[in-house]
Amino acid sequence: MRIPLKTSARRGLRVIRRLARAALGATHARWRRSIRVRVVTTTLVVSAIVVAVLGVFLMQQITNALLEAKERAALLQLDDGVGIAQGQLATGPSDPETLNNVVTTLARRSGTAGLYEVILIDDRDPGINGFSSNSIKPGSVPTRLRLQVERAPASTPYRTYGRLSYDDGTSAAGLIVGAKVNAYQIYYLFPLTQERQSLVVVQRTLFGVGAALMLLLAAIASLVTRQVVIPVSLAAQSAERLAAGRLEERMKVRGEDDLARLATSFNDMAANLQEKIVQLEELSKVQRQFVSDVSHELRTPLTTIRIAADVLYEAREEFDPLTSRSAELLQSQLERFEGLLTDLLEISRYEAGAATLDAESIDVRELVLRAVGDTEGLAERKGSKIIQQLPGEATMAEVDRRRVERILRNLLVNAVEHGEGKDIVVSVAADRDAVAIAVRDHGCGLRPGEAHLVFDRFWRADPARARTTGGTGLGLSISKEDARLHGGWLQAWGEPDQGSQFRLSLPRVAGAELRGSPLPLVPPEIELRRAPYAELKLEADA
Amino acid sequence: MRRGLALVTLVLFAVTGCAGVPSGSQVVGGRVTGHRQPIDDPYVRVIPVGPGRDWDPGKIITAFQAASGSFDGPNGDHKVAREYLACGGCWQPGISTVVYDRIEQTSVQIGGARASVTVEVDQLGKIGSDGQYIADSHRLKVTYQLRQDAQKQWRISWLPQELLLSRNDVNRAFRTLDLYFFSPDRQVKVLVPNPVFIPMVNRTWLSQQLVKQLLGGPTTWLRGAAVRTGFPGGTQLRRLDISGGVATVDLSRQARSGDLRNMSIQLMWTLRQLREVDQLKLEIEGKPVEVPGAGGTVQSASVWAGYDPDGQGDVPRGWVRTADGRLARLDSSVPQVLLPKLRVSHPAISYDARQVAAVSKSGDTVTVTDMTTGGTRVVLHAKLAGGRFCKPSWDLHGNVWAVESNSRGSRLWEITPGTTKIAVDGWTLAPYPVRALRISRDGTRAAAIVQMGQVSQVQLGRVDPAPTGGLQAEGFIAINSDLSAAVDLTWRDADHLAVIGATDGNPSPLLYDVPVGGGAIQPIMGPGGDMKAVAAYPGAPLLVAQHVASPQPLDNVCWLSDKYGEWKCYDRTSAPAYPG
Amino acid sequence: MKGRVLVVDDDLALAEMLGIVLRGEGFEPSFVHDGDKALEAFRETRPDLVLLDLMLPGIDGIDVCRQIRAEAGVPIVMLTAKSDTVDVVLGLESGADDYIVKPFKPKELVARVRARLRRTDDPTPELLQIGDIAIDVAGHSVKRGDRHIPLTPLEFDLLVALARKPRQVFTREVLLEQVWGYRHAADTRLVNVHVQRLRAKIEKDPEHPEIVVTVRGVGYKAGPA
Repeated sequence: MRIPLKTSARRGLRVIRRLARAALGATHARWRRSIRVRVVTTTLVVSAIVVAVLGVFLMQQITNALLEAKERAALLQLDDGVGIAQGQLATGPSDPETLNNVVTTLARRSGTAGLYEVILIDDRDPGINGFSSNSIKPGSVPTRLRLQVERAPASTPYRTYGRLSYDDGTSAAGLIVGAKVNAYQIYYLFPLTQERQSLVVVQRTLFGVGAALMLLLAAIASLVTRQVVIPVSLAAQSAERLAAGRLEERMKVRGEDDLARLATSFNDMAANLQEKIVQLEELSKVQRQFVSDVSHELRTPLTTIRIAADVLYEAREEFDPLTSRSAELLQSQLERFEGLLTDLLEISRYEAGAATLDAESIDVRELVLRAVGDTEGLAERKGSKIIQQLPGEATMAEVDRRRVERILRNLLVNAVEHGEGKDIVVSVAADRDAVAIAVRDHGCGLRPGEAHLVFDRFWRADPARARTTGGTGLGLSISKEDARLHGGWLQAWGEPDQGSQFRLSLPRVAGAELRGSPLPLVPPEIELRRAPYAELKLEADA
Repeated sequence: MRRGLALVTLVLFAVTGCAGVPSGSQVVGGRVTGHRQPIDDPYVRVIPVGPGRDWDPGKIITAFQAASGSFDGPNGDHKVAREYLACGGCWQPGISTVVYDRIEQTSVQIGGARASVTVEVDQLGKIGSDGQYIADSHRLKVTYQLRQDAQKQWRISWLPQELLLSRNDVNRAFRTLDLYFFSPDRQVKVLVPNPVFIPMVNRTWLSQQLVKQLLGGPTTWLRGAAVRTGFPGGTQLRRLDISGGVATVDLSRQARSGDLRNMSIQLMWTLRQLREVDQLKLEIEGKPVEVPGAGGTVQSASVWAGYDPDGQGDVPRGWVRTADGRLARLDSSVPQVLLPKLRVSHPAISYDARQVAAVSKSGDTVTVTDMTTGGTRVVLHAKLAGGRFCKPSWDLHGNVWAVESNSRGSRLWEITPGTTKIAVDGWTLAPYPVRALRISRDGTRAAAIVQMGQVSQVQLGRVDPAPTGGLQAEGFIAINSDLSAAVDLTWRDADHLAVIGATDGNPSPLLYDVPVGGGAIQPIMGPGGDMKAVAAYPGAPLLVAQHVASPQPLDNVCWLSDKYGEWKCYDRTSAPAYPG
Repeated sequence: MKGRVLVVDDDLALAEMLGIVLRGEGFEPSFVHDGDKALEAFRETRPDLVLLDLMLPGIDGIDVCRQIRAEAGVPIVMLTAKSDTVDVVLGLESGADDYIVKPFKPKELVARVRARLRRTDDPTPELLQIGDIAIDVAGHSVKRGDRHIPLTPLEFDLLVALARKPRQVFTREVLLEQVWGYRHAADTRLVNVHVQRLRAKIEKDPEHPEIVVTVRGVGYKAGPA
């Protein structure tokens, strides 16, 4: 029986805990999101604490004051009574009848409202222990007070609080004062009903006022926060719109307060920003125009030169050897110059932000095949073999064919150039969200830290080494920009004498965010040889 | 910012300055709302204690008698006093209460585990179980039996069933209250007070007991006067609740057959003696009933004010006899003689103030004079040898009651307006001379001063129909044992007499207020001379005839001014009278 | 195989160089250096092909292209320094059949020119029917019912290439090779733009084509899906 009870209790507890957590979560969310909720709650809590402390303090003070007054009045009454009793007892014999009369007199002085009850203790006669007024029970006088009064010198008053009980079974809190007169003890018992009622009224009032005060403060806080928060959230909205590109967005300026100043400053800022952006846009337009013009202006004579050089080159066999060689050199350097010009123009296009993505859904393998086909001749010349590891099925992705081909060509050319005649592996992999193409060479590799430098313009692993394939030194840099335009990554890995690997990761859907790559950056065979901890650092580098 | 702070401080100071009590305000009328009804006068109780350890039998008896003066316990059944008894249930003190003046233990006999203690008391009277007090002064001897219990403590094993209480105990522990019934007279509805002693157990108990006794009917003594009650037989009190000045009386279903008006009148007049009661709400079987003419379920006391047992209307003028024997009315500072030719002694004025009954100068003839016509007729001559009439007395129906006495006895006459005279048959005081006789306003009771040997005692009798068809005055009981030499008496109101008389302790005659119920008598400060006669009427000043010896011998009638509590006198007058 | 080629280029050196190359290949080049005079020169010389530089003083190359296209379906090959998508597409949409980005090799130029001129030597009588479109290959005419639809030679070649093998899907690369004569991959935008132009002329509702239908992810085919 105990166990099911316990489990059900535990289940109940769990439900409660879950509900509490959910409520807490919701509250926390609101708490975090709304300044107003925060301010109002804080005000409520703080004012509740203040009101509670103040209330308790006030209540104590009032109670003390009330009881002090009551005590003072009670002692005065007792003094009075003791005086009367002494007077009566001095003139007559102190037989029970006199005592009876004394009590009657004293009780009469209590008035019709029953301000207090009187008990006179006289335990000299057998069978009677004294007299009491009305229906008060003699036991209402606490023993501690009786002992104190019995021991004390005559007429010294003592007081205490206790419970007054009556014959009809009722009882009430009361103040009991007593003093010794001759051989008797006189006790006055004051019921504190009135005081209690007063205190209850005061308490209720305090509660009411406290609650009203708290609510009022909360309302004020809410109002004030509203006054502050609404302009602030309006400002936030305006800022968001501005950030979203709506440069004409402005705030309304009302009044001359701090918020108005905020609005004014915001508007100034927006105006400045707009001005700057328009300036920049114009500048960029101008620059693009300039680049375009330069391109045209450069290309036209270049074309003439090119054709001329070609004509010369075609006719080189008719020339003497020196002239013939010159025609050859002219031809090859013109090609290089042209490549350089193309790359430079491409880079300047990126810098001007004029590059646009012309995405279409393409089988990536096709692009790889074509790029490999383009570079196979070069690879053969360098003695390298290009090994392809392609997936069996179509690997579709929304990409810009021209740009991805350019990236792949760059990577392959780069791999051939640094491959030292060893095999080059091109692998393609895909998962649900991304495709990845890795180009691995087994050349001299990269020194630590160079994995980032390779994408720098005109960077060279060994400045002393001559270019053999006539690369411009801008290819990887452009490729990186191409990859970034797709929302993809282009990363490099390399170790001295282990070769290097370049990995291109692209989202399958144009513009989607890339979360991971289907291929590892570090080739698996290298990874296997590694210590398990080094991976972390490399991943971080990636 | 700083200015704001200063402003707040200023406002705070202003607000705190407002706290405190007002030192002035406009004048406001009206009563304090929601006040509590004033409760009854405070009462004092003794605090009884149980027997001490190893007390001897004498002390046990003394302590028991002291403790039994307390009606403690839930129903006033002397809970503490019973601790002195060997058997708690063998004492039923409800039968009657003996009121004594002095007590002494005359003998204590101890034999082994048994003892007997004999106590002698000077009995003053007895309170019956119905609360009726009858003064009966004699010496009483009571013996208590005691035995030791297992712890060798003496406990009372036999005792008289009556409760023995000293006069002070009775004064402290009992309240004298009136039950109100209707007089037998069916033409005029007049309330007759029936004073009873009810122990003051507590206030709730007292009020309940009061209503219970009212429902139970008049005391045995008054029952003989054939008073009527509005409550059908067997009516019980289901609940009595007094709060906020309203007494809610819930009666059992028998009350349905009763007259609601009569019941309400009786209840209202009985309950309004308690200071906490202003209004009455009558319920039967828990359902409020509407009493015709009471205006709603809650009846106020004023609704039934017309049934005041002391009568209503203008307070009548007093009358005196001037020095030359003429009748004068006390209209102003000088008494006004209305009938210059009329010479009277011991005049008695009828309630309608049209006729005056008087005794002739020789005292053996009673005449009745019509004050409007001035016609005087002799209605009665003394029949006893040497019989002398004392002052006649009128009742509400215009009958004149006159008693003639000689040294051996007395005779009572009733003179009804139509006939000449009737000798009242049932006159139980016939063997005794009667110094004074006054019939109560309601006509049901007669107060008399009876000469019994050396003692002239105040007695109260009832007037009721005689078996012969007329009226009789019988059932005379002593109502006070203290007044041993009464001179004259009169009804102050329905349940109080004013008596001139002397007590054993004070032989010179004083004026006393004597409750007819047998309660404690209270002296009234007299005008100072040798008082001869007294006249009273409810609401009118008390008139006292006195003889002043110095500075020169003088008879005068003095009246007690309510305003200043002092006596004012009309010189050379005597024989004061109010209607009645 | 000889043909008259009108070279519209403001750069005298380039024009001369082009002249040298073209003459070396057996063409008959004539020159105009100003956009304003291009149309006039075109009317005078009646060339078999126009080489048009996009950037011209006076009238823009694109406008010249439109003017010439408005008069004749003669093949137009644009020379452009701008390989940017916008410029190329603009040029193609204004009516050019092909374009060459500067700098180019003389062989490349000659290959393009040859490719554009080749079709004129291919008079095989043949009648094709696609939907409600009738094609007379030898007569170089396309009709819907009795109504003649004027097409440029390139558009006609494109339509014929598709119509000869109805329901076969042609990739853009295949079309580039068959229609434009490219061996290597070139700009597939050429195909896109010309398919759009063709549709604008032959489809009842170019938004919902019924004759030249796109096969998503692959290319185009003739006839209903």
